[in-house]
Amino acid sequence: MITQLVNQPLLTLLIFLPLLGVLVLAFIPKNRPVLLKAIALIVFGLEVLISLKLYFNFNNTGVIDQFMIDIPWIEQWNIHYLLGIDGVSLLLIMLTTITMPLVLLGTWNSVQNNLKFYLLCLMFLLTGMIGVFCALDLFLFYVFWEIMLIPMYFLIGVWGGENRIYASLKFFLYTMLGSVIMLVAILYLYFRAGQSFNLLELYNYRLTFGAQCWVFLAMALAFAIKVPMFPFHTWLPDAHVQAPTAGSVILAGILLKMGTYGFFRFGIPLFPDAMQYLQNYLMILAAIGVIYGALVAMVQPDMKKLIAYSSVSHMGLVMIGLFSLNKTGMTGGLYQIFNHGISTGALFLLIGMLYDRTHTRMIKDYSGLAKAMPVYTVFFIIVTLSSIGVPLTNGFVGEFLTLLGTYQTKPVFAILGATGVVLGAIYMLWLVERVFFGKPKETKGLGKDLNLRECLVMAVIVIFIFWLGIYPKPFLNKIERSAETILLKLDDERTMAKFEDTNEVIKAEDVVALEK
Amino acid sequence: MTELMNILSAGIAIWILFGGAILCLLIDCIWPKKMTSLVYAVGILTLFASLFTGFKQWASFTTTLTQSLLVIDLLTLFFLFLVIAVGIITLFNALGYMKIHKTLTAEFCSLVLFSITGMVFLFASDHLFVNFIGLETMSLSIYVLVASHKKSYKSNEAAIKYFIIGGVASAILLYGIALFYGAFGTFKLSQLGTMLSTPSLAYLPKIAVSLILVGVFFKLAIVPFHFWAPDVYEGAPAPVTGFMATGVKIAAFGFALRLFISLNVLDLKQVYFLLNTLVIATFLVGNLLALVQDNVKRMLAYSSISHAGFLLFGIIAGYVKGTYMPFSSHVVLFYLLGYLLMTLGAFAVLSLLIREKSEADQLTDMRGLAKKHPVLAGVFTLFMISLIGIPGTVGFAAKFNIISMAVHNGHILLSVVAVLMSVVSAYYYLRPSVYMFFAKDENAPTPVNEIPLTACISMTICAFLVIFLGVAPDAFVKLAKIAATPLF
Repeated sequence: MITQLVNQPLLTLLIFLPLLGVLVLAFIPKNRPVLLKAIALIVFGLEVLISLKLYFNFNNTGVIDQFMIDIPWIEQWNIHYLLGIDGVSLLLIMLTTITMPLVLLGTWNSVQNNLKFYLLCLMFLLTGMIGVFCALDLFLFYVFWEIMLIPMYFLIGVWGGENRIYASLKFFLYTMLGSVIMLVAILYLYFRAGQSFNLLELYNYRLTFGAQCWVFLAMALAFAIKVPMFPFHTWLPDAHVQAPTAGSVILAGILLKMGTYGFFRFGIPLFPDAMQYLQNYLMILAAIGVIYGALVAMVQPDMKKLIAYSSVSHMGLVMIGLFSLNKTGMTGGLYQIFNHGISTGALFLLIGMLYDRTHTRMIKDYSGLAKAMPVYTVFFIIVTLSSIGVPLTNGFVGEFLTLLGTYQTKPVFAILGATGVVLGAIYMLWLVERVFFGKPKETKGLGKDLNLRECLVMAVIVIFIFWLGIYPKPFLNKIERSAETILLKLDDERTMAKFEDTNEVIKAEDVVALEK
Repeated sequence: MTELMNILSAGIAIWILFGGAILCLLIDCIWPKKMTSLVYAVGILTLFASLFTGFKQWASFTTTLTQSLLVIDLLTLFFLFLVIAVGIITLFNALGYMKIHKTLTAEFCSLVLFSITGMVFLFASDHLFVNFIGLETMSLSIYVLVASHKKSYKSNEAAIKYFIIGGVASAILLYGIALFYGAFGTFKLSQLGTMLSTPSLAYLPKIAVSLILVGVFFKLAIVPFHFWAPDVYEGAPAPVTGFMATGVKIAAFGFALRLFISLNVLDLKQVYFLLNTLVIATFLVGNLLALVQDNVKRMLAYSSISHAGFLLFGIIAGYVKGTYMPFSSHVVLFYLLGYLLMTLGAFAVLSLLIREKSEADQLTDMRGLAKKHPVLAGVFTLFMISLIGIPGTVGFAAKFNIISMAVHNGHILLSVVAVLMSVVSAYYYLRPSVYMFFAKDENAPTPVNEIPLTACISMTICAFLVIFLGVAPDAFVKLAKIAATPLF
């Protein structure tokens, strides 16, 4: 499969630059907050530049996995430092690198105590996140996947809200529970496939059907917890609500994407038979997530919690698209994860900005905010529209494609998904109505409107919202190609062989349909 | 004469240890209480000298020397390195402890050396009687070490408890050895196969083996022989607790490995079944009881029980169809290495915490430590994270190694139990960090003084190796494999 490989250092640089930043930060005294933040911003800026270079050098017509690097790491266990990205990984990396400086700028003054440690956590987190999206060696993937827990645990625990200890421990334990079982599954696969963690080699290996189901379920648990899919979502509202703004944005914007990415890159292509066998069950869970998340979001008194549950709902829709195993649906679902990252991340950022001023997130504390903070209101409404998928915004493209594709293979789930979209419009618009319109209410601490820094951050996000909504082609192209490659794994002859009987049934039905 | 020369040259590392221990004692006798630093210097030098000779033997190793009562093979040497590492770090920890608490005396050093000598005899022989002598030398020194906080009520209570229960366990072990001799007519484990042709009584070997196992499991604190551990760990001074938690376990596992390998010839299916049961019991008891501990040392005691369970799981991992594969013991060796680093590191930090002249070992004492001593808090959290088994630390590499062996040999269900228990353990290992980092209570006393240099050394070594072996475990995994290659 890979014949000759020229090691390319770009991804390595991208992963380890933040760690270098950690080293630099460690030597800066604590009492220089601006300098600390400036260095962090420079590192994040450099990351954006590197990822842009990746984007422009990415060849969408050639080999699917690019910028590969393969160095033996732990020879005793046949583990390689194997990196490479396809279109989806590339876009997720872009999302990550662009989110980080925005998060830092958006919460520039929010964190006062322990600033240095805070920045260290952010940098460390960045390393882990990019590593997850780059790793093509299952062991390496697991390392990054798990190592990310630590900085996030501290982010929630040190700078979180009232109930932060509970939330941080719950987040840690819940996520770890999924991932350790995944580890056993990975090891099983490793030994069955002749002691290899190399994803590209494993793509060519098929477990027997029964084994596939077990291993797939074990890995699906880890990914489903991270997504989070109903009924493994309970950690999410706690973590989101208690986390500081930066933590919430990163959680919603990037960490939740890892579950989807895991399904897309590992779950589906490695265990195609199991995937097809379990497709309906997974879609049922996803659909429950869509409706349940939306309904629960509707009755939340806390804005942050409302957005957290809306995440559950949105991610459900993403999963429906992904599990439709149809090119359009999959592309839509994957496109939707970026939209969700942007819009939900932006919502958390906006709520954080408001919280910095008033120290309350309760909807009942606000009313007629549009009078006091017009600029803020405009941004909030644009982001809301993107979140509910109004045409011309990014959300529309993703939702439309998802539903379109799903309808072709699983119409019932497309209908359920569409219901979720409608419910989404209800709770979001209701939120906007209650908070921004109506009789103005004097909320304590409600000072000025957004300042230049905050406007700048939001402006960048708004540009992305419209760009992705109006001209999605360059992004969709990349996603489509990756989706095609993954779907190819589902259709190859080995899979067909396993499903000979069912295929015949399907063929018979096709014949009947054609005759009509 | 040549026999004697052989013994002397083969066991040179052991004789150095023994000589050093006596030298330390003599120095303290001649100049009482004046030359404490010199005693410790001699002790540390002795350990390094022994380590050095061990390395030399490792480098020029050709064949196993078994003509004497000692078995000097690569396995022995590997274990020798481990216990000497434990000794060195413990002495550094103790120096730091001494500076802060002003309690330990010079005989501490020689007791540690005596104890290590005993440990070496425990795993460096396949003659049950020599094993027993080693075990007793080790244990007696440790009983005294536990009581070395002379004015502390808890410390004395712990020592008496340990002594009495330990005495019973030794008696059981000895009885097992006697029956073993009765059944096979030999004390030598390696001759088990040759003697098997004349079984005297069918049930005798089984009883003998189970009694010996009870004695070993007692030292390892495997459930249900663990009841002494929490009390003793809590009562003993922190460096001693660290020494017990690592050194004794390492030595006892060295012996246990030889035992399990030689039991293969007996073809006792029950042993495998027994191990499975004990591992699950140990996992459950160790991890679940650790959840509710408010004393960090007590928590670490239960954690050490659960790690002993993991190590025993490492032995099960090497069973293929009821037979132990000697080579697969390398996973246990590597785990022991990792375990010693993270545990001793944690106790290095605990040795430094003081409050009102006694150890600050309650969870609440950890409050706000991150504010006052970010380095200590950070390092301690690192060791805890490693004990959980998060990637990037040696704890993960070690657990991964064992689990992969277990999955390879088809023990999947037990592997799932083991990893789930790691998740449970995450809760109690994270609790200190919750108090250190998350608690907003800034007024709570933070019980740390200046960090002594020696403690810095031991913490740095442990922390560095914990990360280094987590990121690049290759060389040491290979080393463990080499050590396990020529077994019997």
